[in-house]
Amino acid sequence: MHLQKKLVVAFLLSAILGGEAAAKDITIGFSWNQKESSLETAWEDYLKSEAKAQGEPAGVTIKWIFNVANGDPARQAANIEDLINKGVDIVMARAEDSAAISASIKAAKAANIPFITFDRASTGAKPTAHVGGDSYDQAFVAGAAFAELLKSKGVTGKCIELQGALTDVNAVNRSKGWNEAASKGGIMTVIQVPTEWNPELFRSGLTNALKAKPEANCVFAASDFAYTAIQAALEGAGRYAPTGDAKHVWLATNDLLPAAVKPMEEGYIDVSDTWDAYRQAKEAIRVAIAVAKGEDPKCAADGCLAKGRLVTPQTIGTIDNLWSRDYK
Amino acid sequence: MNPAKPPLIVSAVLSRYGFPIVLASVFVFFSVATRSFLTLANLDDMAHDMSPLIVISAAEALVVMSGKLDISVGSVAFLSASLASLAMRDYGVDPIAALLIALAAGGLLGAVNGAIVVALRVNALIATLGTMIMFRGVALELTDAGLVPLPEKVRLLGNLSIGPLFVDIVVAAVVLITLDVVHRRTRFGRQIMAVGNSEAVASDLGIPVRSVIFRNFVLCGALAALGGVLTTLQVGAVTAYLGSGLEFNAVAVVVVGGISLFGGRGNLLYSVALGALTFETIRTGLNYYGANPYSYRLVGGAVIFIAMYADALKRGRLGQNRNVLMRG
Amino acid sequence: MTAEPFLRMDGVSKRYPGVVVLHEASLEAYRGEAMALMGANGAGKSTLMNVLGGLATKESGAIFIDGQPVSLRSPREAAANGVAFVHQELSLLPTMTVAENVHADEFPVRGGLLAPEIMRRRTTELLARLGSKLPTDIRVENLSAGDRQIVEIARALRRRPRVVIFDEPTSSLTAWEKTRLFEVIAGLKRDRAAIIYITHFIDEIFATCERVTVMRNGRTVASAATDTVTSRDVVHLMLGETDNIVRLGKTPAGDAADDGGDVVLQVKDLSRANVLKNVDLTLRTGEIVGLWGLLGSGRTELLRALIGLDAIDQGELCWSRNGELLSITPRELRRFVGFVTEDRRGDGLFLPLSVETNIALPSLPALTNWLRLIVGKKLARLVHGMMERLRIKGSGPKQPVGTLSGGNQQKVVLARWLATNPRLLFLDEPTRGLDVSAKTEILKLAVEFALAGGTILIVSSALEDLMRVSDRYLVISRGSIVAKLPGATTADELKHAVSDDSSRSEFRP
Repeated sequence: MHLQKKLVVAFLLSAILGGEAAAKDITIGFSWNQKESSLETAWEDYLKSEAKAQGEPAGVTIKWIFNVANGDPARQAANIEDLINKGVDIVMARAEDSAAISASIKAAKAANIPFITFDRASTGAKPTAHVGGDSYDQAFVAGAAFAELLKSKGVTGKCIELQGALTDVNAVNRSKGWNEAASKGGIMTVIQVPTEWNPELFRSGLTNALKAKPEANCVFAASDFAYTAIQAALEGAGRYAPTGDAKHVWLATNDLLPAAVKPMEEGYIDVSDTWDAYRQAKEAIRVAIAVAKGEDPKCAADGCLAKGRLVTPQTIGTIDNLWSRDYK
Repeated sequence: MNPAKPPLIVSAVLSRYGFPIVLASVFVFFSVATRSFLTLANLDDMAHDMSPLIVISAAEALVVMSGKLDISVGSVAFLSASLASLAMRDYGVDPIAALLIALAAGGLLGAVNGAIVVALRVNALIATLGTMIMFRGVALELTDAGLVPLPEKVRLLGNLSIGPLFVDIVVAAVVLITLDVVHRRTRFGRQIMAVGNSEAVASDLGIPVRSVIFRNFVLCGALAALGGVLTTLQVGAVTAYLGSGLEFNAVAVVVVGGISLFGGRGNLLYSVALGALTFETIRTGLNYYGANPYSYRLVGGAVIFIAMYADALKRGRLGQNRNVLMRG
Repeated sequence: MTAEPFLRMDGVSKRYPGVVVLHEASLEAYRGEAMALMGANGAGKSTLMNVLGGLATKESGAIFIDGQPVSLRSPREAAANGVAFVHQELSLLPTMTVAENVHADEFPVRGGLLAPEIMRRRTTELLARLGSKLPTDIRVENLSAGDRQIVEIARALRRRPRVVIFDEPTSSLTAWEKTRLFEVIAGLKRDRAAIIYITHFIDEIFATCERVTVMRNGRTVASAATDTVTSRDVVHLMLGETDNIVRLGKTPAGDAADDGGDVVLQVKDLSRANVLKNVDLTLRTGEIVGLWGLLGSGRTELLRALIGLDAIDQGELCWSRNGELLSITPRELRRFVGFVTEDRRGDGLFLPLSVETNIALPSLPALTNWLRLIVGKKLARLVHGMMERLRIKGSGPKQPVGTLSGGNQQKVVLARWLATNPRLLFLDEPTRGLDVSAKTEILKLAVEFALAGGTILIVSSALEDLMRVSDRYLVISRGSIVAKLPGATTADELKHAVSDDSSRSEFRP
């Protein structure tokens, strides 16, 4: 009898709670560190649209409070405190300072409000969850697709790898990803060039590499943020040409930032894997809903990382939610 | 009283011929160890690469010789180039006017540095540390920390050449030679040296010490802006990384080239050319060699160490020449 | 010799907070003549010349050049009025060339660029006038002290000065360079400049100067032609009358015998080329020995050589340990000696650091525990004890030493060395720049130290101070001990001892 009673109570409770879940209203307070580039605008739009798209089937209505800190960690801390005082259900933040955000994380924990870091992890206190981009996957997928492409064209890839700043974990991940995909796919990396994320070094390093290894026929760039530097180097070597041209140097990049969109449309870039604002926003919402429901978002050790998407000149026109193409 | 003496031959050679020997050996090494390092095309490219660094290092050299330091040059370059690029992009200003805007901005920023050092009597290192952060912050604000690409026709100027020589090599050479003449053969230049020797003595001699220092900073700012313009032209855009770490490079070039940080000593032309060539050789050489990216910093550091050692040996010998005044 | 003085300074007064440095001082100089300006440390001669050179402002008085009143409120104004000042501390730019230094105050320019040929030509001319053939493109830092001085003089001459002031010009010169300097001065006299020559070497004034002015305590006490006075007269004028010396410590003995306590230090044949010659001395426990000599006699050099701060060429030192006199090197001796230097602000104290740090510094090893960390309690006890014993007045042990009064600063220096429990103390001008009561306190502390069995070797330009505490005297002149006098020696006798005939020179370098 006791057991039966327990079961009935449990059943009733879950019905009630389930019922509550079915009509749950949560407020997410989102603290931007700054909001002046198109990436942030894209993120915010995607967050809102995903909130609707994922919220309905999950029975969660998400209300938003956004604030912006103008690049000042102290201001951000004050903004987050504001959100806590307003009694939001979840705090999300893109940290201006990965160390300073710890204080806000602790403050939210003290107020029993879950904290989700977005895009920039905390180097101090651990948040409830972290959502970001998967840089290893970015490079690996791009590398694998690149290898396929070259094989299909009958080209033996001898690539120049332009590496990012080795103090940046993303750069390290991308190099790892690229090298593993390249070796699996039969591409030889003939030379590795450190760029310290400095466009000047992109240019001079690539120029030198092209001369040092004249047999090189492809380039992997850990990011195309300084695409014009890559272009300048290729032009200087007389090898800047789109796919199909005999002079074309096969080019794979990561990020597909606005500077790289047109070049890919025109065929100069063959393969890229995005720093995907859309997927990251999607993942952020998934995690937020899980947390709101008291469920485990099931994140990996370094967070819930959203993979990028592969883009080629053939798909760039039609792929959905490509922020760098759609937001100016 | 002397520390343990190093092997006689090494120290004698180093202190007499100092650094040129080290540079020559490095150069020879790379020429032999790789194909294509020792080619006209590469030397041309190296000179092209070095141009912005030469311009900024020459300006820094003059400041160092007056006994001061300016570590805001990178930020000045960034901010000035940003203003010029934004003017072209958002206000359709034509390239010549934009160039003038950059130079004027640089001079103004230099004047700010000069005013803080001379009027507020703040130590130059501290003052320019502050302005380094401040100017960079302003530039990041203005450019949204994003890329400001140059209009296409301007971008093409980056690879412009007159015959075999890139235009910016010519610009850098003109700046270097002019500054050397100013240093050696104008009153201003001699007064800078006097101030570098001893501000007290210079002041006693009637030299307008504060005016000299102030004008020096203004000049440095304008030249830093010029360097920023050259870099932007090469890379094709203003990026958030422009000039970061540049101050370190400029000072390193000056010191490795043999100009004492104490001021009042040095040959501008020789030192800047030598110092810039040294760093360029190492970096390009390592590129060609395909060295492990982690080794770049190690090699760079080792080279600086050897240069400093040679400098210390040289000054150690000078110190023995000084007479000890008798006490009364 | 013209009857009217070309340069006249009248009734010049100046004070710094708390102390009068010049009181109605006066000076006259004539064209074609050199006027020697003499005085002990602190007599005011440098200050008076600084006023003339535009480096210090006077509060009252007037200056006339060639009969015209002039205002000299800055070095530029002084130069514009034809006054050139060759300082003891040369104002040269070491990394720049001779020609550049000679023109440093006004580089000649042609069309915006320097005119190196003009610089070179003029410099060569000026150097030739000074009897020098130095190349004009050599860097000044590579020159000897004498050559540097020539460059400085050349710069002064470039502006065709009418009055040239030399401040202690021979301190760093070799004998040959000195001779050359005198020839330069003779040349300047031929050019009808009026020369003022500050020095403390009495023999020099008789060699080069027609007249001498003596200052003491900020006043001009005498002025005369050099062929009417003897060096003894000059010393007498410089040091003034010493009467009513209030003796501290025991009554001085009548003979010079070094008997009394056990020998603590014995020095034989200490020499250093051109500086010290065959110095013999013995120091005993419980005595205060006054090392008496004029400025430049080698007093400080002797102290420094004894503890190895300067190298010596020969000499034997024996130090008493456990009742035995054992051989010791100067460097080793340094561990047992406290050296209170004459420049307490310069090389005695770390001005921004606290009293506590300054006092404790040499004693730190004794204040550490097994972890080699400083034990706060031990430190506090030591410092507190010293401050009480020496009656150091301030706001407390943490006060920065730079803000203490001169007397208290001197006590801190003393405290530091006393804390190391030395058996021997060297005091070099310990009362310099102190007011009367502070002087007495310091001297009393010295006497206390001796009464407790310590030994003191004391150097002072102030004869009265020396006579208040010394048990006997060692008279030093030109680097050798010329007399050993008992404690009862009179002031006059002591003055006589240092003003001996300058023709008896010991050195022929």
